[in-house]
Amino acid sequence: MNERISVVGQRVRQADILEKVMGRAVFTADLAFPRMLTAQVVRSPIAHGKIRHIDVSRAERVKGVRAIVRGSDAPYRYNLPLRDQPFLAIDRVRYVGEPVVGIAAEDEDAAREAASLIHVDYEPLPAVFDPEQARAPGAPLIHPEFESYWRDSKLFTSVPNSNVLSHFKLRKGDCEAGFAQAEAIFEGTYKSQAFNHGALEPHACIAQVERHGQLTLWSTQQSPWFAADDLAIALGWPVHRVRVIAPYLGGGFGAKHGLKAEPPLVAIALKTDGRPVKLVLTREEVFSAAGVRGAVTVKIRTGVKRDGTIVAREAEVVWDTGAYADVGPLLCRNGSYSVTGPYRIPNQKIDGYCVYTNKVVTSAFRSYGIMEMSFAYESHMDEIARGLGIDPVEIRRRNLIEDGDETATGERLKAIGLKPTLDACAAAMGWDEPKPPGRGRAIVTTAKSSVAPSGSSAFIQMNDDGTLNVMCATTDMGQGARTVMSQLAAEAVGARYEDVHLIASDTAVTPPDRSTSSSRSTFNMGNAVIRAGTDAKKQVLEKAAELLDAPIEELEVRDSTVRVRNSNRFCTFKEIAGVRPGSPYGPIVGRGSYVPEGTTPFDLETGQGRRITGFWLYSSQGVELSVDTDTGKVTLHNIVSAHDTGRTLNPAACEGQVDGGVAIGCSAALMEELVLDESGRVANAAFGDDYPTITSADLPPITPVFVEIPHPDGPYGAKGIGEGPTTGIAAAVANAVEDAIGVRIRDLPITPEKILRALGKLPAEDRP
Amino acid sequence: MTRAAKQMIELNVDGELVEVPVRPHHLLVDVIRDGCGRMSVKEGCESASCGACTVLIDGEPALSCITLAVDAVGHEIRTAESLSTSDRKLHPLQQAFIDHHAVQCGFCTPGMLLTGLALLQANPHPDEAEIRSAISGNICRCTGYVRIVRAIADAAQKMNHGAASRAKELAS
Ligand code: FES
Ligand code: FES
Repeated sequence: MNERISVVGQRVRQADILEKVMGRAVFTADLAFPRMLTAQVVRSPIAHGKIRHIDVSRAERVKGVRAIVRGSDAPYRYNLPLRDQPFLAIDRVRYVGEPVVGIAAEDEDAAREAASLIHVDYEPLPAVFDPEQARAPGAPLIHPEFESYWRDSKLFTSVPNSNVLSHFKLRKGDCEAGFAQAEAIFEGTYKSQAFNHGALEPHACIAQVERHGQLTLWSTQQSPWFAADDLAIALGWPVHRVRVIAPYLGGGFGAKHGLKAEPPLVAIALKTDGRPVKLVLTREEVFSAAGVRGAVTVKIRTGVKRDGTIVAREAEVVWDTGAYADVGPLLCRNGSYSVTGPYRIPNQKIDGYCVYTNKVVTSAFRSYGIMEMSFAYESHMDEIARGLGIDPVEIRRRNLIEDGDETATGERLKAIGLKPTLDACAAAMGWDEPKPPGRGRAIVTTAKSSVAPSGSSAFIQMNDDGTLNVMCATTDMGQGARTVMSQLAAEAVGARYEDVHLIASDTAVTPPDRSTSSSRSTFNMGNAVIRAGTDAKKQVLEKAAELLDAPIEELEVRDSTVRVRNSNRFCTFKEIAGVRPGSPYGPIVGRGSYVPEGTTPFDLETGQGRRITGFWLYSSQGVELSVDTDTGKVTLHNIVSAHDTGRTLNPAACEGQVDGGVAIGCSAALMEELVLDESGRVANAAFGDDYPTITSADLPPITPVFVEIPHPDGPYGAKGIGEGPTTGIAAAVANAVEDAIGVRIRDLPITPEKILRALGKLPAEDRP
Repeated sequence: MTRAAKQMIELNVDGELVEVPVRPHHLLVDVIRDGCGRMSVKEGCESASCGACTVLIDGEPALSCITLAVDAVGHEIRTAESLSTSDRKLHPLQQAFIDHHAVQCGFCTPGMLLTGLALLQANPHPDEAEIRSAISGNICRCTGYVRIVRAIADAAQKMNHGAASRAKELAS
């Protein structure tokens, strides 16, 4: 690329920053419409049971109540790719917190009063909370009607008559022969806990069924098109009848991908005679009923040569998906094949099981299974290094995949920035220098794929004043998409950054896009925006050529102005914009779409596929910490987080992603855990002492480091960044703890109590 | 459950007197949002543990999710919307949040700005540990706090500098 790059790579002012610092940014819960009603949802108090009877007679008499809706009033099921979840429970409840009855009333007081007067009679059924028990023969079936659900059977296979809704298999090389060659074999079991995304803004949604039958939703949606599709399919409507608008989003981290607060509210809205109705979840509802990161158990067995070369790996990964599938089958697939880590392993046998339990549903979470997997494979890697007496960084160097190597799924990769991130991380940590006394240090490496197949599209339209509207459905939930897409549009068209406006996600206005998830937006939507920009620029040049009476080849576009080369003739975008009398040109509208080329589905028997993702995220992360062996308290001293961005389009936004991703990773590594009581209720469904999250006082300096190994298909070479910083921290903390005090913690979070137990200062746990 | 009748109360919000109908159990966070239109006051937890609903009451940070609306009568309530009157005249703290990219989703931002403001009014020269401790009751899930801490430190410097040069001007 030899054109002058002017906007890309700059620390431009964030596109939406003024509204946000002035307190004027409008989030979903801030919206109100005339005659709007307030919704409340009555939720199941039991983990598993049949609904015998729902008595709404007293609630109906409450002044101001306008609708009371049961599952049988809206018998639809949603979720892609497995349609197992009802809008409101039908006949049966499967977790504490499941929506059972929806209410709409004139105000919150009336809605709450009505909710308190609804009586539901349940016949309790045996509940199962442990995925090992749930997948054992004879376990109570959580979805006896499973076979009747629609599913995309190209994507996963299930185990009939069991709670195993998907079984992912990867078979590569010859594991038996591999282990036979091994000079040492290592085994370990690693467990990751369930926890909540903790996006500061609780889920909120306003739904309205308009007179002509269109359903409009204003919703805390990361992925408006995905939500619209899922709802339309569930309702049996054409997708144009469902319109999803996403206002400013107060954090997502996966919690707001897929339908969450929307389905029960839509069931209510279908009965409110066109009046808009609003539901804002309480924090308790967010914790217990709007998706969590679920618990995962990983068993790994690895055969190695004495020099650390890995020759074979077997793994069994058990994913607890809770009461419904949500993204479970895809998480199980993507996570399970990632248990290979970013390493060259010729012989592998991996089995991943996604299992129903009577718990709050597992949903997507920033890193999409890779934090759980890397906690296992990078803890394991350090155990191997220690066992063989090899430096932990060195053993990684010897096994890392490099250009031309084949991944677990049979893809040959190019432009792999792993070693550069490892080297940069080691240098920034001072790995080769002696560590300060009492400190532990560790460096881990991770790779994460992005979702495929995956399409994005965008329009760029010139306004009458010569500014540009970029219409793309990528949601800005804080990650900076509005800024980066504006930069890319400005760069591609030749406009001033200040002249570009991004139209917020609205499926009636912004063209189709798969989702804002999986670190995919910069890569996929970025390419679509560049293509739309190139198309718009072509139209700009055609019009300018006419206005300036000069051949297109002699024109150059920069700073929202078209100039004739080597002359002082120019015209501004303002002069070009609009439809002129006598001009053969209409308004300038560029369009672009992008789908990574040649991505293929997986073979369901072997887990192999030619290209399973558009791009990978490569990162290395280092942690330095100390542990107080009297209290078990871990103090973080330094974190280095190195990423292959391909090309850093906006350094400030990338650094922000690193800081935030690392902070969530530290919080998950050290403190966060969702606790269920014996009845299956989330016992700590609130921020604060019961459910601590990391605060400003606990975090050390974080050093972001970027290396740039351009991706041949990326926008200006860029890869994704969003999830990378969250992937490896937990493993790095576990390894640094062992480095500091010689004990290995194999289940998250690494609490003072577990450390003291491991040190023998507290009695061993009697829990199984 | 019987509902008490609504009564009119008068609140002083950002220097403006607003009359709103409330019931005795209504919380300030709801009344200041729905009744007074101050949507910058966010609700993140309803349990005094996230700081998103912070307002200043007589200059002191207060959590509006645990304050009854009726108890705010007769006091001066300040929200982040009062920090600047126009986008050309930003408060130094707001400018620092912009300069340091201290905002991602922006949901915690109004609360952070007010907590930061109260800190700088009480302690014009906070060190990093003091800033970190002052905002430790405000959860930010996006930024890892790194840039927020830097922004508050920078604003402190600029405000002190501004104050010093104004003092110099007056003295000369
Ligand atoms: S909403 Fe008041 S502290 Fe969280
Ligand atoms: S910027 Fe999102 S919570 Fe702070």
